[in-house]
Amino acid sequence: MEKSLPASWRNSQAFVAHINGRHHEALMLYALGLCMRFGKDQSFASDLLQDFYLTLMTKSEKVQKQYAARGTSYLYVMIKHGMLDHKRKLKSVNRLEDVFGVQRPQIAAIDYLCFDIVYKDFQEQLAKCLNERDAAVMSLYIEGFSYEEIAAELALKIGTVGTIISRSKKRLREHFER
Amino acid sequence: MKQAKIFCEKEAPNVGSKAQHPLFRYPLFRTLFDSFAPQYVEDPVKYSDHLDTIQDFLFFQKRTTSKDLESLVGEPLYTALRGLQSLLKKHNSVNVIEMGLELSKLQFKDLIDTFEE
Repeated sequence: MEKSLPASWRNSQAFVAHINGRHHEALMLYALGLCMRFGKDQSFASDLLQDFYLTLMTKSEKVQKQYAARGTSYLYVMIKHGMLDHKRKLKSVNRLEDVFGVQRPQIAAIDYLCFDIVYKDFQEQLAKCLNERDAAVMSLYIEGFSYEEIAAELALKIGTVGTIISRSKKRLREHFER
Repeated sequence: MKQAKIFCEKEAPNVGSKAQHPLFRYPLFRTLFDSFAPQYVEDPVKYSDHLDTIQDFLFFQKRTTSKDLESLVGEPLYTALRGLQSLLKKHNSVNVIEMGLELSKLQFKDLIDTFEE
């Protein structure tokens, strides 16, 4: 059952300050441990925490309710999801480079700022040269999802997903090389 | 490998009859357990075997493997202890780590103060 929220969290900033004051050390150690487990540099832990605090601030109402109901475990899950999102985005960039080939702007390899532009362009190209089902599969593939996740999301067999990805990559490479 | 020594530094005083386990000489462990496993703070005698295992993992590494520890304390606390272990290997002092985390907390507090509603 959801507990009532303390009146002292009347605004987002008070809530984030409460989390910082009470749990920062534990959350930082957790973020450091995640960096160890995911093979990332320890300095990335500060980036994870910064994203975490920003999320607390921007989605304060939702997080406050979840925190009141589930306690600190919700906070760890948030940080872990931050790490998984980062890993997925890295995978996404690599896959985009693999499929987009020579047409992908070189700066995208080092700067996420232009990633969204490249990604949007890629989505438009998908719709032009693939049918609806194959474009949906490739869209998820480029977002960094695993074959299993794509199969579950689109109710397809894993083998079918693999076949579609292989066929679509070949077609897209031919398209981009024109 | 150089090991951190739990008994060689000037310790913070114990804060109550229940906090007799050596780990509780450091405020950091109280804070850490308060977030991840409050039962360790509330009843350290009952969980003394858990606390001994954590102490061995962090400071001695004679008996405890990562797998043992994770299955005993659960994924969140184990992950945080991995983070703490990496800092111990780097700084060889819980007190130094406590100061570093306090500084980090203040830096993020400054950041939070700049957030707009």
